Amino acid sequence: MTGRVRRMAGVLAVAVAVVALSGSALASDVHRTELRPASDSDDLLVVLIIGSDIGWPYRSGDPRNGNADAIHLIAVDTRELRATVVDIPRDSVVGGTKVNAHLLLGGPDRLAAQLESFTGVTIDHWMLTSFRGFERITEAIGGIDVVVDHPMHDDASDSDFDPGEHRVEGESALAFARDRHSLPDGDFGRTRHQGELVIGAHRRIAGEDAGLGELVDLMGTVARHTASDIRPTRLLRLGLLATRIDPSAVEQVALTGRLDTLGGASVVRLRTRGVFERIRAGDVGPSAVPTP
Amino acid sequence: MLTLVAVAALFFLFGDDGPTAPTDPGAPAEPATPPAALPIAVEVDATDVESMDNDRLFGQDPQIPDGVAESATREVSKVLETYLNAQFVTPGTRFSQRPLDGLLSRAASAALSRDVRAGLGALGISVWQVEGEPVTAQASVLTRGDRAAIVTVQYDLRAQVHHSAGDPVPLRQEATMVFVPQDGDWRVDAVDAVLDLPPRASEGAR
Repeated sequence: MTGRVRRMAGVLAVAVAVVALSGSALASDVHRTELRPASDSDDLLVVLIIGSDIGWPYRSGDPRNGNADAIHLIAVDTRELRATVVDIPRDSVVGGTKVNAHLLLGGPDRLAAQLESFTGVTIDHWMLTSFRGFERITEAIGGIDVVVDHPMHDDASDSDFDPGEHRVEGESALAFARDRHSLPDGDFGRTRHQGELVIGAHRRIAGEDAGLGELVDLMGTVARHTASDIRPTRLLRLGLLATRIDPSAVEQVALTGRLDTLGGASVVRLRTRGVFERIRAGDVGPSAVPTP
Repeated sequence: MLTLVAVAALFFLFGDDGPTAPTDPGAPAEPATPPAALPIAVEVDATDVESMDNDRLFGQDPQIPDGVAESATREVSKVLETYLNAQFVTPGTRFSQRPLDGLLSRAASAALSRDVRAGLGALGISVWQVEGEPVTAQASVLTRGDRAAIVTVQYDLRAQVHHSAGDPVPLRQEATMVFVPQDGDWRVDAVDAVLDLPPRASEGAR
């Protein structure tokens, strides 16, 4: 076969393939589509997630007036669909006292304001839940996958995990989130575990091929078991935004620090590792924070 | 060869997401008096209601006001019915983008793409007549306080599309639409939809 014939044969083969493919394309008559609302946020969206130690039925009272046992800042680049989750130990000194006390002293707005002042990051929304609320949300998601590095057997939190992979929900998720006695790094480890649960929950939501109706139902469940300053339509849009963020585009930054005392109480002087400067610059996602 | 190039161009232009039946410039204009088609009627046969209120955080069950879900469902049904008829039945607007203006929220409109328009029926095709069947929808209502906050509707539309007289093909649209309040009305903020409209029967047989 000469080169010219080979070229002609090649062209013919391509043409036949194009005709065959285009024929099927023209016959293709099914249009599948997903429409999600455009983000009505600035490019950078920051949400403060709070876990209160008060709330029915474990400890009666208004969870907005308890101590903050879990504190996480979620910073989202709404255009690039990337996020950084910053886990803040509850004993960190912020505003001259333990950060968790600001919830008790002035509710979520005060906690958010103190964190804004400390980090320089504008917080757009806060969302708070109780122990029971957290349990219900993890159940609605269908459980969260976690990896246990060290044996966790602790009566105070009811944790009972051998090393390995676990799917936790309800009471087991709460136990995983609360146990610090079993962990070699104590409260730092607990704070990191809480962040892993936040990220694991996102992984479940984003990874499941859930239908739109199920996602809306889930947003309803989240609303029922949280207090927040987020209106329903905004909550819906934030939830749908979360499903569009690939889990691989989410970075966890578990802050630690130097142990100290303040007024006789054990506290943590945070090492922020420049994370808040980067968030302020809109640099969020896996590349945002170098490995310490 | 020119045909091949044209077909190839069409393929690359539209890919898998292209319109099912591009407007045929050679197709006859719609007759002035096609048989009148009955409008599509929407009936909601199931309504789930849940509250978004967080009373359980305080150990109480949320209260859902009487009639709120039913009222919201009626209002949403009207918006859906208006869209379906304008989008698929009414000469002059069917298969155009205009019906979407009265359906979508501002945030959803801002996110419109060519694929989404196609899935919602804005195919830009010209047909002779469309006969729709009544639509039975299922609704889920989320309330907040004394109002409905979010209404999710799932439906399955079936219709016969006549590209010309005596040339019907079945149309089907399955969709989940999430309605939110906007300016005193209900608008769709998010959609999952599948639209199935084969080319005209005579084309399909080729």
